[in-house]
Amino acid sequence: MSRDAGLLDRREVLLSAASAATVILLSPTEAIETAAGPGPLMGRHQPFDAGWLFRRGAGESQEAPAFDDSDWRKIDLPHDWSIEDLPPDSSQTKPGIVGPFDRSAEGGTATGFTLGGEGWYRKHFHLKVPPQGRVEILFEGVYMNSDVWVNGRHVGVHAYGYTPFAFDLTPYLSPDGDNLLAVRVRNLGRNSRWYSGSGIYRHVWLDVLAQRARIARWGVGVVTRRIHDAGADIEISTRLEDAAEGLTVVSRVKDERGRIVQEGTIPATAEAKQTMAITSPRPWSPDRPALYALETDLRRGNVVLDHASTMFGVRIVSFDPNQGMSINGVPTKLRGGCIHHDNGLLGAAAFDAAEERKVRILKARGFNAVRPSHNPFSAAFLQACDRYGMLVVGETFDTWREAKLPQDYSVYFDEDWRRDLAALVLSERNHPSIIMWSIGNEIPGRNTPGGVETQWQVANEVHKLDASRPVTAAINGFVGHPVIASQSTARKGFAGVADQTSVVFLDVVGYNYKLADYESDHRRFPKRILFGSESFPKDVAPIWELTDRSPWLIGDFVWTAMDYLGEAGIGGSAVVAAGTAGTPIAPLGAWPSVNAFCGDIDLIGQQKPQSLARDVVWGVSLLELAVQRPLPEGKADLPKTWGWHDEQRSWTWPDAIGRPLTVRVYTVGDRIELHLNDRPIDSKPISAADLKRIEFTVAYEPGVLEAVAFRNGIEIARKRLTSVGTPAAIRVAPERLEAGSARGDVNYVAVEIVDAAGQTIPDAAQKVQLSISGPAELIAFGSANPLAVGTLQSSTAHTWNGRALAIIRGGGRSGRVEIEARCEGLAAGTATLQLS
Amino acid sequence: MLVAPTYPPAAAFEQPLAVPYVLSLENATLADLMSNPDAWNIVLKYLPSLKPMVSTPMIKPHLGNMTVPSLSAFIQTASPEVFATIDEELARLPPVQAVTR
Repeated sequence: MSRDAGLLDRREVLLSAASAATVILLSPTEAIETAAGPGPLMGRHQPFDAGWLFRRGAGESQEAPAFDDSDWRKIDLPHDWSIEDLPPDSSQTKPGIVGPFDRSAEGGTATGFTLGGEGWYRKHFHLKVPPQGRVEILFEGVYMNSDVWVNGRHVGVHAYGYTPFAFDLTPYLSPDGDNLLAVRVRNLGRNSRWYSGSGIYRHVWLDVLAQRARIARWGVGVVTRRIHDAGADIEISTRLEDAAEGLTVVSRVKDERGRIVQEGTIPATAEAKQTMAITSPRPWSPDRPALYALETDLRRGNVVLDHASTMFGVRIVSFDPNQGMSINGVPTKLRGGCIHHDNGLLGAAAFDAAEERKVRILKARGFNAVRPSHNPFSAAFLQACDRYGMLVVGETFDTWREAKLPQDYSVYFDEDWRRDLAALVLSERNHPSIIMWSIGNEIPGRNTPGGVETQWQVANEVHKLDASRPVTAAINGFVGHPVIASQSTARKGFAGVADQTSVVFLDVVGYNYKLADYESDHRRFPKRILFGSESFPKDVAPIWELTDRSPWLIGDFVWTAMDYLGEAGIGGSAVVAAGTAGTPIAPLGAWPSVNAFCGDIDLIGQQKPQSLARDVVWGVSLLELAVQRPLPEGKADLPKTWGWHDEQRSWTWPDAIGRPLTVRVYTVGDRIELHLNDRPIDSKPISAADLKRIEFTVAYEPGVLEAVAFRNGIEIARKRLTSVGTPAAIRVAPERLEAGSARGDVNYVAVEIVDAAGQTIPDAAQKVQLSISGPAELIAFGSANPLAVGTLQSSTAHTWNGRALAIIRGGGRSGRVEIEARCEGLAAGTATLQLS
Repeated sequence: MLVAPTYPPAAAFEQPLAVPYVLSLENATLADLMSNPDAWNIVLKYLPSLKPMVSTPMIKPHLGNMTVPSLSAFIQTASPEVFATIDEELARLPPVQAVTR
């Protein structure tokens, strides 16, 4: 089945079946008796997130049904224990514990000084297996090394923390219906180069079917083969399991309004194939992400034995070194950003709304592509990409056989890579947003004979699973020695063509930090299709100057689009002695840095200065300006390798009156005029060599600094920075005033320190106390501060850059939620959220 | 009419044929140079600080992916002129080819 089936709940399934005239879906009452209280019902994709018990720490025999779990903590998924507060440092023997951060954490800067360890989950549930039925559990993601038991019997293990996995629970369930599911999760050793989170951090689902025959998990595939004047031709494959003779597969395609636009019935076989024509289709594209739903029934006569719903888009993505990338024939550049999977203050917990918020924020900044680095992301994230028109490079593996860290995936690669690769490709293949598959990031050992063979094995396996998309990888450093692949081994059209070992079996090549090599490599390998799979934020202008004029260079992905936990302190800047500002490398992070701080967007969703520059380069804005934070005498600001100057969209520097400040202007104009308090103070032309950026030095005086941009003598934009007053009040601003009340719903509420005129105080760092009343729960409260400054889960937080963010989780019932924020000496802020 | 491209799997694996090439700092990894004593001696003659660097835990896992120029920011005696001199001397060595077996 498709992971998109999550878009339909059981009610929709029943309605869908009912809409097909005399069709009957097997009734739950025929097969299932539920215990008192809510329990799983019949059908696919039943939510199984609620009502778990959790205990952090190792333990023996905790899978046993008789184990006393009465003192375990009650939780609902998704859940990440690494973001929870550590026990207080009362003994003084272990200094350096701040909220979830521990200065002595084994992962160090890599994991943002958070801890993994072992944790256990238990869930009691009542479910009787139908006499001929099947019950299967799907975990979307557990970090990592999970063992699953049912009623004390071991069901299976899954090592990789990012791929979905399923177990058939049927033989393990109790005849009387009382069941105990136990999951042990072990995030041990140095296994990740970034913040992974720990636990069952994505959704869990249960499939309960009345008979064995079913549509295989991830068994439905839809591919657009042709788009022509009359319409589009799509191919559908449906893989079945335990399907007896006489069954049929019914496929219906519905448009965005739910109208059936095509329907077909074929006899059920192990791999049923259908071709359908959709007349006057609405193609999917980043600008117009139209979606269709494929409803698949497995039937015996008029009885629906199984049903799957699969969202897809009608689109054709082509790659050509001379024409570039095109979507439905329209040339398209990948305006991309790399992102890790964490959700900032929530840690890795993959709430649907948090996943969607990331996509929404990036889309608003002009991104049309993301590279989920370096592992599969949640279904909710990909569904959001489908809806918003965000292109995706689906990626897995940060290592193959050679390790980067002692306990990383290289330990499991030999045993698990085929299974994990299949889980990635089959579960994600119907997302129209996914345009190519990346088989690795900066893989060590890739240029050895064994590495080249592994490259072929993994790439070829992808092509077996999905021949509709190209394979890529992110290559850093050395691209490889010259080699020639044979007819039987080469990718299509490249037999006998000289290439390089790292990329010889890649259809599209991703380069990490190799801007200086793009053009020379293109001259050497003119058939190579390139994109920047990682790039430094500071290179945004030269990268896009080259990308826009080079069809063979199909786009770029900045490292990173958003701040993330871990790889602490690789971004930002350092204050150094003025004479050493030419030193090429600023020191990277150390405690108490916990956040990479290299993103365009900060940890709570706000634009950082580098994002202003990107806005201009991408045409989102014609003009932006920012001011370098005043530095002590004799000091200079040195951006780190992935960093940016410490500048702000602020003209409030009360300690710098009369001092010369550096003002940086980003613009597509060819001349800038600067005005201070309505006086013209400077004017400079901007040439192509300036790459859309120019600096001014301005003696600071409070008031209004205004930049005016001209092109060919005509004003095209003006922007102001205004000095703000002193802190006067707190503003509380929910991102949505009406929201869902379910436990899986989360809502974001901005908390800002403002002056009497309602302007946000750019540097305000104030302690704020939040109170919530109504059917909701505060699950995170904090700021974008890249340092370990406290808990992220209490009702108290300090603002940073004038802002904090509260995240509120639905309580499972509708009602009004009143939010109040208080701070000593300031007028309180309030807001109301209506949950339904 | 737009026709979707396809990327069919290949039939079977054969190790690609290695093509001889002239050794240079740009077309050899640190691991390549270190495995060729003549070449490594040339490199260390001009860049002696590389010797301790390549045994550090941070660099060691990347020896097969990194070139000398990619580390130039960390090498005290690195400069385009020095690299050119090294390349001249490396070019006098016999052509090499990737190990494919």
